[in-house]
Amino acid sequence: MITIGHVMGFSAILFSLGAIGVMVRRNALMLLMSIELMLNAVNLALVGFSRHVGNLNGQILVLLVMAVAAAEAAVGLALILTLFRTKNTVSISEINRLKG
Amino acid sequence: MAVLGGVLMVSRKSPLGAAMALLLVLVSISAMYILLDAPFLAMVQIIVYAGAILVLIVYVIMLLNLREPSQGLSKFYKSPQKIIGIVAGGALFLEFAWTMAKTAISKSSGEIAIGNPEKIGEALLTTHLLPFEVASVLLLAAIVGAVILAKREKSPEKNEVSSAKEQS
Repeated sequence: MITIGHVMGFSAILFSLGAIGVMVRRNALMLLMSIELMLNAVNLALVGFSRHVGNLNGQILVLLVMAVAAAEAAVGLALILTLFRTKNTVSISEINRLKG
Repeated sequence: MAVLGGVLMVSRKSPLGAAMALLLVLVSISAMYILLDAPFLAMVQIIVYAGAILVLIVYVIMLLNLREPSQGLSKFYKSPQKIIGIVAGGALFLEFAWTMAKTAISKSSGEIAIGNPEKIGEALLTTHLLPFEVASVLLLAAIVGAVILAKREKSPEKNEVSSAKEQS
């Protein structure tokens, strides 16, 4: 039997891991994957609460979050591709054009 | 198991290994959805994440053909940034845990809404019609944006811009 506490704890661990990934890694692709991990953690929490409350609104919201995640992944990967063509790197430490 | 996959994902050196670890996480989360009475979302999770997003990520990894990051600059950032990042992430987790310990969660209502495709579709097309349509417009915009961004620039004015960028 899974209680809401288990789901929330699991979701918190996954979200923290994603946040650590965003802060630690220098690779733009890894950043994108960590963001996906965080979105998944939030989705899991939403499904857990949807079951806890007993209606489907949370699951609808998860569906919409998935659509947004797909859009974000597509645009983000296209950006990384363009970035790689112009700068020949995906390491975000070396993308410092904007610095004056 | 998913936690193990997450740790693996963040710690892998090569992006491809991290993508495979992310696949493990996604499939585990899909199993969690089935356990949480949401079979439709479990299917969508597999199809959208494992089927579309992960394939896209792996495709881009292959396309870029990354070599090992061995630049001096990234090495310089490495150790302090890693420590700070892990400490901040740990603090975030502790904050989550503290909040969860403090919050009194009400008793479950007892009724169980199973998220099968029929129920989800009905709710999506009646109560939540507007967000559904907005999501479709957003997806269209994302497709157009991705194509324009990833397209090679061929028109003369665009070439001037890109050559100016190369010179600077």
